[in-house]
Amino acid sequence: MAGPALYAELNAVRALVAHGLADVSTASEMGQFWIRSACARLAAIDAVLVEAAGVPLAGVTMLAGISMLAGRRVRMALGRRRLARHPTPGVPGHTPRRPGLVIVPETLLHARVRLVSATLRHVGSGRWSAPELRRAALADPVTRRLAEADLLLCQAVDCMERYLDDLAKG
Amino acid sequence: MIARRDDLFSGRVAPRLARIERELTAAVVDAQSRDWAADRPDRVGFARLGQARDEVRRAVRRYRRFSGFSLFSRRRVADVDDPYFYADLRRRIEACAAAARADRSYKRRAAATDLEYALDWLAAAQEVSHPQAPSRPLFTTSEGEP
Repeated sequence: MAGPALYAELNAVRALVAHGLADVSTASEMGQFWIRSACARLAAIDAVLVEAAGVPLAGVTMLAGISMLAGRRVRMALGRRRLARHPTPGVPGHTPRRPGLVIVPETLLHARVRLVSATLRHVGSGRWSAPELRRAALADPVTRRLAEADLLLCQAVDCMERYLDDLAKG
Repeated sequence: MIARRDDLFSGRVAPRLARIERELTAAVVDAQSRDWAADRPDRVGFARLGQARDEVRRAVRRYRRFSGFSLFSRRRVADVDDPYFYADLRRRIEACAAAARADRSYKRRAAATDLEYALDWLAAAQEVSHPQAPSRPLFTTSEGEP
């Protein structure tokens, strides 16, 4: 997928995750362990996505001999600039927040679908078998970060499901 | 180089932990790419394996100051479908936790707690991937029993 399309997709995913995080963090039991770890993971996703958007020039900065930490900062700043150039779409059908969490917010599941499809399109069609995807996730810096964001998202959803499971058990 | 590297109670803990971390990372990437390809859809399993990997990584960081780099690391092929994958990892993490618990330094003793969290997540991941497998560990340390 070309740059601008990827950035638009990443913006959409970020908006969905932000709405999901708002839904979760208005849950009444904010101090609960599973809710807290879900929120921590959702909050971490945003930085990972911004860094993924800022990757392509990072090779140049590495050549310039800048240290790893500065490289990360450069990627973050660059990613933020690139993403800011693209509009953030609204979230369709987003229900207003209610206190208390009864289901995993829909927006998070949508976010996962969009993130995975954006990843697959970034890898490129025709390279969608599992070994090829694994190779891309290990070698390509953008795909690696998208995979990390996907992992964090799945972990957050899993934490919420365990919380809801505990609630159902009583 | 000839020495058998997988012996449970031999060698220092740090390189063993680092190897466990590498294997878990390989397993997570493998399971995730297979989930993406819809070859083996299982989003919960790799998420939980990732949590176990994070805990092991935290334990590795506690040991890091005392260990060097291992130059001769082999990349292994991790197979999440293999039921022995979980049993083997659990056994090795438990051995490392036992060694960490008996350590002189309080920092390295703290790594034992991380490894116990990692064991919990590993069991949770196994519950998803192999629901029919016995939930009791095959090998328990004496501290685990009430």
